Amino acid sequence: MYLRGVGQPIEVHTRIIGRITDNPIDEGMERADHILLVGNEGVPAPEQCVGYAGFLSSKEPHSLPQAPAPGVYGIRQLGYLTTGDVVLLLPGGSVNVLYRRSSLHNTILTTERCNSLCLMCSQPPRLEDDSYRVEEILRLIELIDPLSAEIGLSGGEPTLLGTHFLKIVEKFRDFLPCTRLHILTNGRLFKDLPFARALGRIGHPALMLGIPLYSDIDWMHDYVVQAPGAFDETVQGLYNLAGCGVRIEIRVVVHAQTHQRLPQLADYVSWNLPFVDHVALMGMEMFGFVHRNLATLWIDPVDYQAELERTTLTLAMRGFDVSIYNHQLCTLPKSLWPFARKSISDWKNVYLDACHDCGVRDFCGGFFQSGTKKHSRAIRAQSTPSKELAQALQSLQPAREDLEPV
Amino acid sequence: MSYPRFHEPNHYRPSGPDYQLLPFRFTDLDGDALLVNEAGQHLVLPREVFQGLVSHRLSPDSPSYLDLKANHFLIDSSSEVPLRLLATKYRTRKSFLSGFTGLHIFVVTLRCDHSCHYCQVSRVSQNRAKYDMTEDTAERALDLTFRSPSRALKVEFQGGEPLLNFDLIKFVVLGAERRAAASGREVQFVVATNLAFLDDPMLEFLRDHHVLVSTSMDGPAFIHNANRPRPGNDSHQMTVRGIARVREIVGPDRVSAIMTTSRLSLDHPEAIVDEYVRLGFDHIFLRPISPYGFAVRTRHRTGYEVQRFLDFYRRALTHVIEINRGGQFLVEDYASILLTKILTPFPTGYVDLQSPAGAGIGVAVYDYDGDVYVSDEGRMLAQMGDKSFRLGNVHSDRYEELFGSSHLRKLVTESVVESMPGCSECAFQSYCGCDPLENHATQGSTVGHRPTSEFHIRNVEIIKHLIRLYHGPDVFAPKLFWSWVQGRPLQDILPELPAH
Amino acid sequence: MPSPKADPPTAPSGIDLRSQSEAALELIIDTSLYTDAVIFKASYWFTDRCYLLLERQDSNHVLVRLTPRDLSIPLSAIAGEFCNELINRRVQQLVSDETRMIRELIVAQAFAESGLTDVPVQPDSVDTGTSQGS
Repeated sequence: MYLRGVGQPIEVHTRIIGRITDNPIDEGMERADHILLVGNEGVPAPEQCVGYAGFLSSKEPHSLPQAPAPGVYGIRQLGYLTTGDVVLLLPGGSVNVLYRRSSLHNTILTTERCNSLCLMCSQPPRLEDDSYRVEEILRLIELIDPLSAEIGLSGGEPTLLGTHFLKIVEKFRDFLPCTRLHILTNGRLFKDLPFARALGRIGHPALMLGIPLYSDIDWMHDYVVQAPGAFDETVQGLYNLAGCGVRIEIRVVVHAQTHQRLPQLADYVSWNLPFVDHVALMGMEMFGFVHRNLATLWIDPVDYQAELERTTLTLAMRGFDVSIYNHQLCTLPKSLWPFARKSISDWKNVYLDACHDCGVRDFCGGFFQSGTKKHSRAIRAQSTPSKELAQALQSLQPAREDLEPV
Repeated sequence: MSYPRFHEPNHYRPSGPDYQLLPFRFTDLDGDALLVNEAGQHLVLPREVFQGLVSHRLSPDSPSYLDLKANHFLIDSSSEVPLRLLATKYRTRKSFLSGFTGLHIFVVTLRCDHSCHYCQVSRVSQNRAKYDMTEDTAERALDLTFRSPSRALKVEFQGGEPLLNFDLIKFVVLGAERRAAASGREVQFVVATNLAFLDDPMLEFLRDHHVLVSTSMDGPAFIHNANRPRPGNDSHQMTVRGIARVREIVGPDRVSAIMTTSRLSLDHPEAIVDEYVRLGFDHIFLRPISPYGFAVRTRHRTGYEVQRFLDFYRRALTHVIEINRGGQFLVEDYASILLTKILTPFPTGYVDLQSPAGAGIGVAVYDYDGDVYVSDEGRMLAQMGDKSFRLGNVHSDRYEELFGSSHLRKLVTESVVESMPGCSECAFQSYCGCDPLENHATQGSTVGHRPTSEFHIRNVEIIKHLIRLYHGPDVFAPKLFWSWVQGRPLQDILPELPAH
Repeated sequence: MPSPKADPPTAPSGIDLRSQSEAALELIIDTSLYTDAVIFKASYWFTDRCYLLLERQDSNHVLVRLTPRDLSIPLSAIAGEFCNELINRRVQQLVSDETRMIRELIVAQAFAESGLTDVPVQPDSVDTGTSQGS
């Protein structure tokens, strides 16, 4: 989810966060927020870097200065960084991109800990206490461009941060009030009403929680997320959140363990969760635990077309806003093309050779990098659409790109 | 990190084969069992499966088991979630109660130019100004209207022919707008008129104050004029002209029509529907005549058996569906109301299908002389000499005496479907309602006698008919029904792409 | 949680035909299987087509006599329908008995959070004058 480069660190003794600038900034407080991208020198002269948080360079130095400023040099790939991006410099010489201003798909990893263990988890959890991230996230929020359209929070399970989670949301409210905040969470901890209330009380102006629900049957959902009682906790959480005015999106990853009762899940959402703002039906990403559980999870998307179609149309007819993510257009019946979104984030889009002559490529999200090896047998170039069809497809693209899913 | 261990589904399944039933009622539907739970969700089961269910022999591996569980007909764990969900859905269904009286009908005059056979008010000629509501009466009625706790109020003007006292309509509209602004509420206006007396200043006022116009359209001229005589016998022509003028000046979507079924209508369902389409309406409300006032007096002319009405309704509905299939969006309102109750947990605001009945607690009528009635039917009965449903008068009684009276409470108590004979165990309890005034007028008591109640027979049959269509072989029907519930044409809800 | 196992309500045991003439039908009903309430509820649905007489025979039996209101109604059809209605009412009674408590819980919980039970309009409340709305 973030890009990484590696180079030679110099004077990087702690983790350094800063906003990239390729133009020098006048002396003053603002320099401390910034990391200077230097062009010609490997390691710039110290007076060039006075006040900056650090520097970055792709070049090797001719010689090292006496008292160099902190930074990383000799990074092979720097071309992807531009002014406004925010990076993290690590003492080992890694440069991690935390935020790309030009991207519509920035997601912040809040923690790698999780209280579920989904069969298809693409971000397998780790047990270590990584609460050090909180301070960095709070700092990152200060550096993100306030004109950013949307930022995502994910994990692991963000709510495991407890009051820190609330603090992060508050900080978003205060520093980035014009930025939509989309949080991916299993919602289980919102079974605790005070916690849900506390989130509602923050009053973030554009908050949406993306919460997965994999079945209308409790134990089937529990099986997919490998946590007994998860369904109950999630549904209680959904009710508490709705009662506290928090907007909710239901996310469903479609695979062999969820496709069969997908239409019944639509009915369940319709009767019991009518307050849901959006339903996202998602193709499985070939990442993380999916490889380990492939035999249990894999189904060719064309083999669940009927259920997916029934589910999508059911939800649409009942007035829900529905989107289909991570499905190539050739794997979907035409009736579902209006619901398919180009959801794979910009730097992850790839296409296969078979897509070369496809007439609707511009409307299709293509594949995850990780999805190019195992994919549907139905991948096939579509013929060039008529002008009417192309216009219709164009008009169905939403005004903004949707967040990439976890 | 240690290698995580993934468990099989059985690790998460409930332990025993035992389950507990959740509350539901049932009936027969063409040999199958039709079950409806406390939240109004329904399921159709083959008889043997139903028998297995109620005798606790249904296997968790049976295909119906999971659906029964997910739809809250049975529970097999100690989870509190089903209870919370059912309570919420039940509360949602009954949430109309918190607004208390939302519809306030002002009878601004009894004067009228028509002599409709089914009309339930006196046929007072145009000249008698003493049958108009005064400003003083209107002021007091407005005060009472705004005592209602409802956030959104609806004020409807009726008569006679309300346009004959247009000055009073203006007075009420302006007074209501002032009060609404002061108390932070919304008020919507409707005038129920035969459109014969429209002039441009009236139309401009209606436009400027967003007043909806509701008119009667009984079908093609030969039916409409026969039902609704007036000097010159040109009611249909006047109505059509009036509709065009309202659309032109007030707005294209500001006029709707309601239809009253008479004996003559019963033989011409398709023609009536076609007339609505021809006149550019996208809603038609197929309602039966109510047996009050002149309807009862002239019953030999207007009375008919409920079965004939049901035949008419089914034929008309079939025709409406075909028209939709051909690409023209046309909603049958009565079906739409019932379908909202069958397919969703949401209330509809339709006071004639709710429990307890809407008389007094959903709707109130302020007659021209200040008398307050629990409903329009209550006023009509008073016209016939039966003042049982008069709550009082705006000039002599306070809000608490009118709406908190033991008289009204008794009426409400006796119209709670959940406790009425014949209704308390009815499968369609969540979808239906009751009409204590119709019971009183036709059967001699507000509770009424269910097996002979036309209200009951009508609704059971229409509900069954709709459920049959919804689950039937025509796949267009359920989609159409959802478009009606949504109030939007199918093409808007399910965008269709050009073929290629 | 143990739950009562009911007999599968298929055969109309407990209903015996005592006599059938052209004019009337008489059934003896075993009240250990069909309670009074069930018999009354079933009978109610025939009061449009028939006159009904219910007479207790002994501690365990009730006689029901159905006399059609008009002769065009065939008694044989009524007999079958009446038995079915008894069975249905009995099954509904079993379901209602089993679910009574949770039904009360559902309704109680539904109204507990609605605030509806908080502000009834009392007939003898003090006139609050010109206050608008509530």
